[in-house]
Amino acid sequence: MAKCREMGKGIGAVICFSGVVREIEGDTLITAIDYEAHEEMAHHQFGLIFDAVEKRWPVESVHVVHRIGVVPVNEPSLWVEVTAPHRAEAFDACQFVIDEMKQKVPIWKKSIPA
Amino acid sequence: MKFWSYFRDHTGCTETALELAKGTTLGETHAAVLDEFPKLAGSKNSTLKAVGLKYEDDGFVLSDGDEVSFFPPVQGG
Repeated sequence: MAKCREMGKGIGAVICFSGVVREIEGDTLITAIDYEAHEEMAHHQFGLIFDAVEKRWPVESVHVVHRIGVVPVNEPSLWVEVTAPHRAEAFDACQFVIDEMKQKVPIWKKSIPA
Repeated sequence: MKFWSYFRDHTGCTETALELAKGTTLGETHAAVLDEFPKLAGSKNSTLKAVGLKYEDDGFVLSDGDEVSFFPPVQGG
């Protein structure tokens, strides 16, 4: 995906993270996770996170996709891509986006048992 | 006000309307909601509260027509 995108010539790092649904949730074997979101608020909260990233690191872009609805085991529920001049800020910003999302973005999950 | 995730199971509804006195805070509104839906009391301390699209604290004074959301800790990822 990142390969197909246009990037500035100063970009030296592209970090792509995929969060994948595991078959074990706690002690329970599951087949999928059903995600629900307060979508309007989720967009707003992601916007605040992107603003915070922009103030803290010289990243060129941040893209996030979070699936909503039923996501089967082994499939990605989350995709994050960060482009930046250097890998240190790209990794840090990517980690920050995910950490903040897990605290502030109104998305919830319900496991579907096997 | 709106309820999200398993809070809907605890209240049996996705939203409800409350008539509140002028100057009522978000914390006082939460207390009123707990009176009406006692099953939410177990999650009282972990409940997240938003007005419109923003998180607000208990001291936030509500205005006429504000949409308040109550929900459990978020779980994205």
